[in-house]
Amino acid sequence: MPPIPLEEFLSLLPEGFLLTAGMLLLIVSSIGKGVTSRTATVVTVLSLALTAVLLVWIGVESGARPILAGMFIVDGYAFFWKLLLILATGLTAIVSCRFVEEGGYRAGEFFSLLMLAATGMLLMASGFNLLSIWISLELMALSSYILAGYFKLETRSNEAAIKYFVLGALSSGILLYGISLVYGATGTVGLEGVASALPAAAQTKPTLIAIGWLLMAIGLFFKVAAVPFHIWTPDVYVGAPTPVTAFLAVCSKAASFAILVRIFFVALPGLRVDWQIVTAAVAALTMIWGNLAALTQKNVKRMLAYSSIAHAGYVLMGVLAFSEDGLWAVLFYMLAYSLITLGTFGTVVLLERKEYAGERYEDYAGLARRAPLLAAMMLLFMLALTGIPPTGGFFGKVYLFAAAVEAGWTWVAVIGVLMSAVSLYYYLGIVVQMYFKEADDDTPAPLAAPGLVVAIGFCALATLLLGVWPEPLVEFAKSSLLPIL
Amino acid sequence: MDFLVAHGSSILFFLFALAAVIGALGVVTLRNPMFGAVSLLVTFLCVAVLFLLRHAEFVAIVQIFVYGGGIMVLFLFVIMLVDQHQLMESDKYGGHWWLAVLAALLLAAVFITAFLPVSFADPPVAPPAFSNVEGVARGNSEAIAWSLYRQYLLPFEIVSVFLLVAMIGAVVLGRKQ
Repeated sequence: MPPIPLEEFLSLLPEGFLLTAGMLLLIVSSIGKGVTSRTATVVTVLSLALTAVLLVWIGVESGARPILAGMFIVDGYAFFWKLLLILATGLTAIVSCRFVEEGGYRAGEFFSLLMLAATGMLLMASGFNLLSIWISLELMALSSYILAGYFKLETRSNEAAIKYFVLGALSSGILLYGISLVYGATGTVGLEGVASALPAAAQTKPTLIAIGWLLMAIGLFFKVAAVPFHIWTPDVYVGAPTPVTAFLAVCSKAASFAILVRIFFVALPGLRVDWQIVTAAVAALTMIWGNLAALTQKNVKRMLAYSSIAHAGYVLMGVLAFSEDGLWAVLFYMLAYSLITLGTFGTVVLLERKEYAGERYEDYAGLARRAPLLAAMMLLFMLALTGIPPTGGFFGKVYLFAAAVEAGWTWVAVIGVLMSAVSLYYYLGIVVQMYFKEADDDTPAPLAAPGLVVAIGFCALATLLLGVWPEPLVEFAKSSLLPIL
Repeated sequence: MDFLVAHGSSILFFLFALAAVIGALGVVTLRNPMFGAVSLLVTFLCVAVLFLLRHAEFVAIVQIFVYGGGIMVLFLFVIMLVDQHQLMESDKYGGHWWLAVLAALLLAAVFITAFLPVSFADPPVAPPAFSNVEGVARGNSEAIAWSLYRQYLLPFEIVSVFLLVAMIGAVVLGRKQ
């Protein structure tokens, strides 16, 4: 094949810039005493902002074709996810600032790993070949394993990192094995190549194809933490430093959904009937088990872990609809979910002192008196996670349920609605503590981190805005769809 | 004799495949980690032969250099650094070995079902893609280099970033606080 034209590398500018910024921060932080957490946060947020500028500058062509030998595509779909991921990573960086500082761990490596993970996620969003998608996924995952174990003097952080690493490596192996079987049957790893070779291969090598795509689907369900492939989630989310938990629950999940949808819609439309049934079963199980397990949790982070599992189930509903309405509902919901979840974890981080306080329900007692504004924002996040208007969570769920019903998956939507009602119970547990319980000590909650408060405020405002005026985001999501056959 | 010549590569394949599987079994069952490492080496070398049988000479040599050489030495270093007596007395599977056997058998059943319908023909004589560069006959290494630095350039570069992250991780997690 001919050499890759130089101008095609221009499209890699945002990823290349973020990678360079991350490595520069790493080099600078290894000189002398390193950089402070605040400096590193500012550098990270500025780099991400510049990456977003570059992304917009490169823009999106309509009817984009894969470039770099079919490995990479700059389309509206990738553009939407990349903006979402950059925003979410930036908010994660702000949430991390004080946490890393108080933990007393080196800041430079933490934030450069955050940027390298973000590079992997951007590459995932644009990946158009099973190989480039897989290795980008691994780049993100490996950085996340290290971040989960970053507080290495905490036993729980070690446990989280080990469990995440072993089970993450296993799921990556399963995904890769599935890819290799599909490659063996179709002779290609390009998404469109697989799609066009699939009908013939399904005739001659039906078992190879069936086991191949099933293993791929299992690997992807692992990454988005869907039941029954969720076992790693609660322990990892509880043990990891809280900002990292937020990063896993939002960024890692969003990037994994980006590739799951891309692979299912572009490479496997020929097996639509099969994967829709499997996805429907997984979505139903995920919504049921995620919500029921969250009911019994005593630890707020563990509850939020199960809640994030449940939300993956809602999003899967939009995937299995296999329609344009389902697709933009997925995009809308993931953005709303990201903002709400980051706001929630931001509040948890704010309440945490040096130890892991802020994890028990009792830590929220009397918050309405100690910090009325913070309590009000937390109330908003809890309502949004349940899906009550006027919040972005409400419209997100409505769009997903509507898409599922329209595509004929009414029974899945019914389970979703019922389970949303169940989720009200455990989300309101925190609200009850905040507004109707007395605190042991009535000292005002420390709001010593202005950046963090601003970030939480931004998430709250955006959640509210999406709840009263969702049209602009809906229009943006609609303009970012994958072409559906 | 004619049979041996006609089906030589198939016979070699099954011999070395069997040896590779036995080596892999040794890795998970042998109690002494040093013996485990040596069985792993057996598996690595047998897999290298399997690559050779499919005319992937470059990958076969890399398999021996990188896995049989570099990675093996790394394993041996790690084994030397840990307390072997403690390892040998602890229960490898925490009393759940039957669960491991069950899972392995289940997985084996799945893979056998996957590959059973695929015909077991003798491997083809050197496939052209392994030694052809744009229609010109070249060596296997050159053919691989062409596809690695042309078609698979992007994943190749991402792998280098991936290795960098692995190095950062080893330093970050291994350093004294």
